[in-house]
Amino acid sequence: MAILVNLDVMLAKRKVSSKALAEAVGITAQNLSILKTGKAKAIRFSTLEAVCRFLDCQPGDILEFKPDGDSPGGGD
Amino acid sequence: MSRLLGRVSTVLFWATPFACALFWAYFNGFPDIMKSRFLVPGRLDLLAMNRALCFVANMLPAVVAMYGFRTIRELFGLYAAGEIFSRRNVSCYRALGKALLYWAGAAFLNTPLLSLAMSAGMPAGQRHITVSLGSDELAALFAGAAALVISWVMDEGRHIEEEQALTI
Repeated sequence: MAILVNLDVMLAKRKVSSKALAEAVGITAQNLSILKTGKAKAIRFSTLEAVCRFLDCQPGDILEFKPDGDSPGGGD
Repeated sequence: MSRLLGRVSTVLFWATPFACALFWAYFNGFPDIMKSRFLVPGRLDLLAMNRALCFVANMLPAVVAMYGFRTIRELFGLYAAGEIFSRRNVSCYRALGKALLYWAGAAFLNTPLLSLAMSAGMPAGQRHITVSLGSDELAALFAGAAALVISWVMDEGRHIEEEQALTI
């Protein structure tokens, strides 16, 4: 997957637990785990907005595009 | 309801070979009007060997039907367990579609095999072979094709559900 989720990094920077984030955003701990481990296929804007609001960050702080060899346009 | 239908499928699965065996075991005792549908001309009763051969010929579509009942039982078992759009549901529908197609082929082959089994042992010139293609076989072909299309739709549904479950 070319999109990386750096939620763990942001949680560590803000010194916030996963449980607190899940409660604040209104998602289950299981869904948050899916998001953190990169197994999620999509993220709703509403979820992203709630995460950014709670962690006081930008979407780019959480999501990162890293081209891999298999993806079209991902040469390196 | 799913459990009940699953049990009915189990009963039908086991009843199919028994019904087949009982039918041919007591065939000679049936009223002539019933037998006339099956019997070759010039023979009122069947010898034990003929009835055994008829049973074997009849088991061809029966085995396919048993496979279909087993698949239906598995499908209703999944529904009872709350699995509706899983990979296993899709393969059940696919297997059911194939079973219906196979059944149409087996039913088509059953008629000539049955006529051969009935006239086996008769003098030369009195042996028969019958070939027929009826509405049952055509209906099974249509139903089988429809079940295969449904399995494809189910697979698409499974993809959508999987995406939905992994959208946070």
